[in-house]
Amino acid sequence: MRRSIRRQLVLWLAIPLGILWLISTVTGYSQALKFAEETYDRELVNSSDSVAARLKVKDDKVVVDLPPAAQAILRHNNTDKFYYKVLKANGEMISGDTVLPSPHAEYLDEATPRFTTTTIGGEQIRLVQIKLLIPVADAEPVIIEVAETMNSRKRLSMNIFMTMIVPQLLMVILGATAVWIGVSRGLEPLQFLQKAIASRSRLDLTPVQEDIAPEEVYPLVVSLNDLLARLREDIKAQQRFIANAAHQLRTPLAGLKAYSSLGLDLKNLEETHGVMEQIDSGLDRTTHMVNQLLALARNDPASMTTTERSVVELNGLVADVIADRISIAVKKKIDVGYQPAQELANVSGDGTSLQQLVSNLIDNALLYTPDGGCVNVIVAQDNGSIKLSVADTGPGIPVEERDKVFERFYRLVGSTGGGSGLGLSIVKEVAKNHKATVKIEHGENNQGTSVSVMFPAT
Amino acid sequence: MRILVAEDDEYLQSALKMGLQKAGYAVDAVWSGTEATIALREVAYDLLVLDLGLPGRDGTEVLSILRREGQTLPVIIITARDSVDDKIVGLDLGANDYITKPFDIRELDARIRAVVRKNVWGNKLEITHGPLRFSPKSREVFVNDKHSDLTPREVAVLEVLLQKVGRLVNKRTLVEQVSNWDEEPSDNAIEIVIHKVRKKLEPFGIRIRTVRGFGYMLE
Repeated sequence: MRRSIRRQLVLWLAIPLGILWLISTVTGYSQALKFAEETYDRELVNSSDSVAARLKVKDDKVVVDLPPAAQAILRHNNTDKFYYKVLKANGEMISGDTVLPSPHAEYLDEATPRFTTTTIGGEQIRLVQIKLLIPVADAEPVIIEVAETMNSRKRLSMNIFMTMIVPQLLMVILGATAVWIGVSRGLEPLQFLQKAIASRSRLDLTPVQEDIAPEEVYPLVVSLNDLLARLREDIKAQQRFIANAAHQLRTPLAGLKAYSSLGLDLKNLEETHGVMEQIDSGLDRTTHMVNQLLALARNDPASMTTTERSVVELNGLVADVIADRISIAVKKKIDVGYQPAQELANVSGDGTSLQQLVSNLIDNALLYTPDGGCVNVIVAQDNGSIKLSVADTGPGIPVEERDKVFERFYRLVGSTGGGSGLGLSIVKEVAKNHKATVKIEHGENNQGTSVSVMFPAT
Repeated sequence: MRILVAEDDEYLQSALKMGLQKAGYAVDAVWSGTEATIALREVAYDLLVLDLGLPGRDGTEVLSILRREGQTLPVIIITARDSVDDKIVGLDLGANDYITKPFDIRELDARIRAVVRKNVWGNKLEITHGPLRFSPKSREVFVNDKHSDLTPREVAVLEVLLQKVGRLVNKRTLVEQVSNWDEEPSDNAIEIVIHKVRKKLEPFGIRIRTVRGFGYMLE
């Protein structure tokens, strides 16, 4: 069964309440019994005094002068039987009911009544024994015993018990019910919230009404709204991305289609060859775009769960990337300088992603640097943190654009290179996944662009 | 016929330019919306091919500025956005046609011909002038029902003259109609084209008169 706040609260209140009720009932009942017993016992002592008052000394002998009328008064009781007995200290019977037992008669103190609960013929009785000194010369002390059955006492205790337990039990039940109702009413805002959310359409990501939430639920509603807001942002970004991706994929396709349809009408072999070359380079470009999109998807934090981390040596990785692009540099007469770190530049991360980061930085530099320019790549190590910087002598990125160029598909106005608009987004995502920071500055002599990636010490 | 292509993608732009030039149009191209607006103010184009996803100033903005300034030249939108809403917005802003990327360049050419036919020739299927017959639908010229051997460029010049039969066509207008930014617009080039057209049409009694210092007139 699912945990229920209502059940939990009621239990938390009902269990201690029940225990309290039990304790108060037990102590109250025993206290009441004690008072009842004391009262009845006092009456029993009174009865024994009445018997004692009837003791007389006759011819040096103790006798009990208890006529039947007096006995009737003593015995008069609707519910309980009355017994009495007078005997000598040695146990010799003087007068009274012989059925009455005489327990520990020999240990009695003078003038201190001793109470015993015992039975006569299977019936419980309360017995009081008193030892009396007779103020007559050499008369032996006598023991007076008075007893009664315990029906009245039992009835009284039952009455006390009932008058105590019933209202208290009612109180407990009432308390639990009040708590149950109170909790239910207290939880109503939660149900309202639940209904408000359940009745939403899948696409409705507007915030939940915050003002109806009570203090305790308010943080929950606020967090929920936060989550919804983030979700809205994500979905918007996703939609923007899809729209942009559609544009970025369809445009090169449109170019390809334009060239291929143009080629269909050409009769001249030389012209056809020119168009074929265009189609060929267009296909390379489309392939690059698709690869960039895949690289971006691969480095998206949402899909990063499966990539393994290993130690990647950046000096070697950068050297490999540059070596792959030497022909481009030669074609554009770009002077590529590379200065690796003195020691091994180990970065913990994903090799493929880091390779994409380095490739994109160097590709950008080569793409935007005009013929005859310079590209400088430096890997430096400082206390375990590693800095990779790629500087070029291209047109540079204006200060106010430096944040925007990391946005997906963002391209500077007037940039005509065949870039996908994703390169720096990929760099940023990879850097983020490696806890690295990316910074764009001017290149040397305030010219061109320098992009540096700072990997923290591991 | 001078066309402005506003497309930021270098590759597609060069394909469009090549395709439209082969079809006999004079083509200029710009990369951004801002440039497009400036170019449209400077040159009297006959048609604008407009990409919606332009940097700087969006294609829809270029279009609304153009229409606000009272320019009536036909506009064909090319875009990667294919939702009906996008099409409606584009057409409502005053575009004459709409084509979704990727497209066959021959289809774009056909749409350009259709838009121009409607705009310039009022949907006439044929324009006749003596033994001369011009089909805006296919941009073909027939003389005595026989297909003439005019080049696309010669057809373009003749098309301008045909629009103003019996009236003077300024030489500058003609130069602008058939040249683009890549080549130096020269009166000389027009004179050569006119000379070739005359040579091909005069045997059939079609005369293009030179009004010295002003321009040409199709009699």
